[in-house]
Amino acid sequence: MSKRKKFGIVSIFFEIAGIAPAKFFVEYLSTVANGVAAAFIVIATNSLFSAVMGYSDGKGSSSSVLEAIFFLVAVTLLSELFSGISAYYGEVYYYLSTQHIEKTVNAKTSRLSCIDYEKSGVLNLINSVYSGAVNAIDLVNIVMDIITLNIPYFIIYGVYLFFLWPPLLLIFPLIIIPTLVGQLFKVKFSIFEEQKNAPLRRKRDAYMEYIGDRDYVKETRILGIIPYFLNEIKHTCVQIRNISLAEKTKSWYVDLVVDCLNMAGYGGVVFLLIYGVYIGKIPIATFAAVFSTCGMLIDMEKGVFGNQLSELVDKYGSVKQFINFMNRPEQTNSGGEVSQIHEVRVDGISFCYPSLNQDQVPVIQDINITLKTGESLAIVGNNGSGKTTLTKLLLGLYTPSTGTIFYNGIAHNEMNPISIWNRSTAVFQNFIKYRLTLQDNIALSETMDIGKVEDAISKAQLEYPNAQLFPDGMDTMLSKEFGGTDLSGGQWQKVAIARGIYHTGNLVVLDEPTSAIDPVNEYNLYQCFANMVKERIGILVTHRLGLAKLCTKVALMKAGKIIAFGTHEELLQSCSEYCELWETQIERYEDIDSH
Amino acid sequence: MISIKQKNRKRISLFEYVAFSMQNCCGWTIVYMLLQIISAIFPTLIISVSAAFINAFIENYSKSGNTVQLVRSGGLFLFFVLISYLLPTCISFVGIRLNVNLGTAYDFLLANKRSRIKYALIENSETYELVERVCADSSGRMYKGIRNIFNAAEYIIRFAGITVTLLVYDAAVGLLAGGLLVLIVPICVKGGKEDYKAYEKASEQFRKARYLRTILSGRDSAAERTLFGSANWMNQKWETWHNEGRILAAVATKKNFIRIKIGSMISVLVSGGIMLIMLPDVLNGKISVGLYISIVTAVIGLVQLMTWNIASVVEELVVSRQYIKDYASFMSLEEETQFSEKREKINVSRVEFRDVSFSYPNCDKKVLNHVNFILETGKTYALVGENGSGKSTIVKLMLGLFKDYEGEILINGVELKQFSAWQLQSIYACSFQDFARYELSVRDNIAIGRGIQMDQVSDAAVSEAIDKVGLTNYISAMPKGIETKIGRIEDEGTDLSGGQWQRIAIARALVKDAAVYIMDEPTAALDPMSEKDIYNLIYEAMCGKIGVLITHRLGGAARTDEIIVLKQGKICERGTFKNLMRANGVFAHLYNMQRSWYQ
Repeated sequence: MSKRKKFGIVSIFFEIAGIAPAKFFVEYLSTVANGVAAAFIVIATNSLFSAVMGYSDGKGSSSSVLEAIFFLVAVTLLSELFSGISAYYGEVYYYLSTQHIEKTVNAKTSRLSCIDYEKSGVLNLINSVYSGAVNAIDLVNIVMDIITLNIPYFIIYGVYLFFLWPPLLLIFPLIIIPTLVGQLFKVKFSIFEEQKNAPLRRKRDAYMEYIGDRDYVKETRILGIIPYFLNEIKHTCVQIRNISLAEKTKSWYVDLVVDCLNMAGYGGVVFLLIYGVYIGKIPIATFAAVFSTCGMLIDMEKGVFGNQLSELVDKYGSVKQFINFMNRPEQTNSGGEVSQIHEVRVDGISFCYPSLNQDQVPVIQDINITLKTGESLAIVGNNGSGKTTLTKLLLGLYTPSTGTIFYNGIAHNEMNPISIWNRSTAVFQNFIKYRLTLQDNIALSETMDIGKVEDAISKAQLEYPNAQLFPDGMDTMLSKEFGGTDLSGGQWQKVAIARGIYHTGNLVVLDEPTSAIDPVNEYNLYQCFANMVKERIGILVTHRLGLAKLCTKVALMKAGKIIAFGTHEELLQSCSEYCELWETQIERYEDIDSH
Repeated sequence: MISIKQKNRKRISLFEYVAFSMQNCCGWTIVYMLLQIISAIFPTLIISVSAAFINAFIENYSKSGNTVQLVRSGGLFLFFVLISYLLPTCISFVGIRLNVNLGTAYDFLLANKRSRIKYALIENSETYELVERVCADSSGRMYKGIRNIFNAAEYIIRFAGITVTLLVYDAAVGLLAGGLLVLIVPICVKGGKEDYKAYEKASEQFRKARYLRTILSGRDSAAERTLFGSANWMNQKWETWHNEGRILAAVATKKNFIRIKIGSMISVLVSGGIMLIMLPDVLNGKISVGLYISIVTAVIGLVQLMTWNIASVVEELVVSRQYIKDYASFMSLEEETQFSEKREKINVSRVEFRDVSFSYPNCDKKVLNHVNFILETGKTYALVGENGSGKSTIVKLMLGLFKDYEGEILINGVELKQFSAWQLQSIYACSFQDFARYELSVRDNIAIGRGIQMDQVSDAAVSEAIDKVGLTNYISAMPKGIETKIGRIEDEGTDLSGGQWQRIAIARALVKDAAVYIMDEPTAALDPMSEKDIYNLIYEAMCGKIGVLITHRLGGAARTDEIIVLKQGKICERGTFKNLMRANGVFAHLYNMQRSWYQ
């Protein structure tokens, strides 16, 4: 699928049909055949009943009755056969097409930039895009069904009715008009119980979690507050019940009105038939035939003009949203490329998260740094000082609001960002614990070289091979949900480190990489990090100054600014805040010595 | 609201739904069942009424017959038809009441049971999955079950109606019709069960694929996805997984469709046969023309209903059946038992572990191996050791979460198992590493530390705790102060950061006056400046009580009266900081490693 393709309602139609044209064609051809055969049932039934009437009067022959029975059975069998084929292919095609379109949406959403996720409402948008995609398929199906099933059926049945007695065509408006009116009535008076109940349901579900879900139950039990939550659940359930009853009853009243309207229409149809028989325009056999088969006709009419039409209208908005999203412009991947990053120069950058608030304080202000190969920078500071945000800017995941970052002298906005990413790696503070195999968790790609993975694992000090921890070796699934093993916090962190090592690049960012790891392992890992950084540019984010002094330079951040920059010794001399921080941390160890 | 009695039955059937419905909503259930049965009988009644109308018409037409009779039978026919049109609407009214009432009763029943399940079972993933399966989307299940039963029953009743009508007039035909019913039903049901398993497997695949979709489109994974360029590979994997599911579902669907279509085509053929066989009786007047036409109409109607519906009705029945089985297993899960229900507070001065060994259920490995130690009032203890050495297990046993241990845990000399849950809860005040973030106000999130007595915690006490943990400024800046709701998963803006939540968790422990304080990694999310203050706070709170501190930051452990070092479930060292450092063993080695950064 080319990235430049523009989506539109019509192009979606061809796209969906084109997934498996043969199946699509068979499905809808069978639907047409089904529609035609089903319509012939009324003709066959009529001839059967007429034949039976004639036979019982002694006027007809038994052979005509037999023929009529065979004709009816044949036509019904054909209808069954074709409806089966079209339903089967319909289901198959539905799965195929939803899969195809979901893959397309996946590709598009995966290309959203990190900063896009900071905009409000983006998660809701993504959800509605996925449902919009499925709705697009539903839309195509509805339209095709109407064209291939309903229209042929209506035409054949209608023509036949006309030949029997033209006023019988009134069956159409007698049903369609009440249906349409009913729909309008519903739209106007529908009360959405879901909205009123949604917050209550959320509360109930949350409290259910507190008494039963793994993440909460230990504490809830130990505190002994289960009766409290149970009580709250009870009250909430009762509230939900009362609102549900009230709202659903109101909705039922609306349905009652609609049903009465429809019933009036149906009554009109039956009355019309009786009248036609009474005044001798249609024989009783025809009355019976039409009466017995008009049920299906009526259901179809109600379906098309009631449900399907309203579905089309409802889903159209969502489909439009889907199309708009798919047509969103993306970051262009043109621009300068670098084969190696050997210098990163940050020139007066500042950064703000996307927001409607004009006066918001920038998260990063006026940063100037230069780093070359072989240099390492420790970024220290308290929580909320902007350390992680700065690393994301350096990695090209965020773009500065003002100022420029130069990679080997090329400005960031003149570079192809993919080129930066290919040459960088990171161990993020909030690394993801993928529910994938060990190998996939590290490589996150098609693994050509197992040796490289094994190398990364050993450098990260992960206990491998280990029959208890990784019973299937590299293929061990690392998640309880998918039937695999559960790793401890520290082990996961090592996996994340192995991940970073595997994707090695010129620019290495380590964001609190050993927060969950015990002292012995931590020590060994930092030897590994020191080696990694030797021929690269290294950035270490930490608030433990003991680790910071391993780097060639240290930057102390506060409220988005760098308030001190230099070697560890220089900062101890010149910066009082840095000194204070250092003293606090070393205190714990020195105090004890003096006991 | 009544719960189902725990019967020791080996087999649980679909009628459990009816039983539950009767127990919890008796009146509406009876009305519902009656209406459904009437609704199912109506088509049969309509056969007779329409037959009468048609016959009356034929008489009227050929001879100048009884117009009154014609009008009367016509009117009756119209009346019955319209009633049968409206019956579903009435049923849905009753259905609403039944659905909502049953849903409420069921939700509460599940909540009750869930809160009583043995803790060990919750940590076990297999039972946990069962719990999730039963409790997910639980509200409507009971109503759906009973509705599905009656949907299926409708077929049977309608068929039986036609059969009986035929039987009255001609035994042979009647038997043929009855025979068809007996044939078709098992074919559909058997197939339904096999398909269900295949669909289950397929949905498992879809679940896996769905996970990958959240990674591909989610916010948390965006950084790694972009940096490591893993999106394409992941999307391919998504497609592979989803495709596997799709194929499984397609195969099951194909089998299903073939089976059902064959079934309905056989019914069509047999219906044709019935039409043929009835013919001679029409000629000799045994069956009137009106009746013949009406029966054929009813048969056509039933066959059409089958074509549209029977697949889904069978599927729903199978799902309902599977669910009720899960439900039975769930209800028979072991519950927490307590030895006593005493509610007297204990003044704990001593906790002793005597030769305690423990392994988790379904696990051979001994997590604790002959552990011995004594904790006394007025002293603080540190539990240190590598991940997996047994520290958190000791805490869980102390708290009484697991009772299947070997050896003895003595509180004031009395075995832990003899205490009631209430008593155990009153002894401890805890702050965990994986503390719970409740969606309650700040005030309640802290007051909850005192358990059931949370209402007795004054606002002043809460404010004091907030002050001690250093959150006063932040909380007073919040829109509703301490009444502001926190813990909302969606509104990321109003929630607290990790470090702030940790302080709330500590405040929770501070607000309680307990005999034993357990602090598990209380500063993991805090930066070093705050760490110092918090440690001071904790030591102050533990003054005069039994204090247990679990931490990786060995510097913080140094102030305790005794350090207990665990390794692979055994205590390998214990003593004061000075003594352990002098001994130059495991602890000294760990400590020096951590400290080396600062030299």
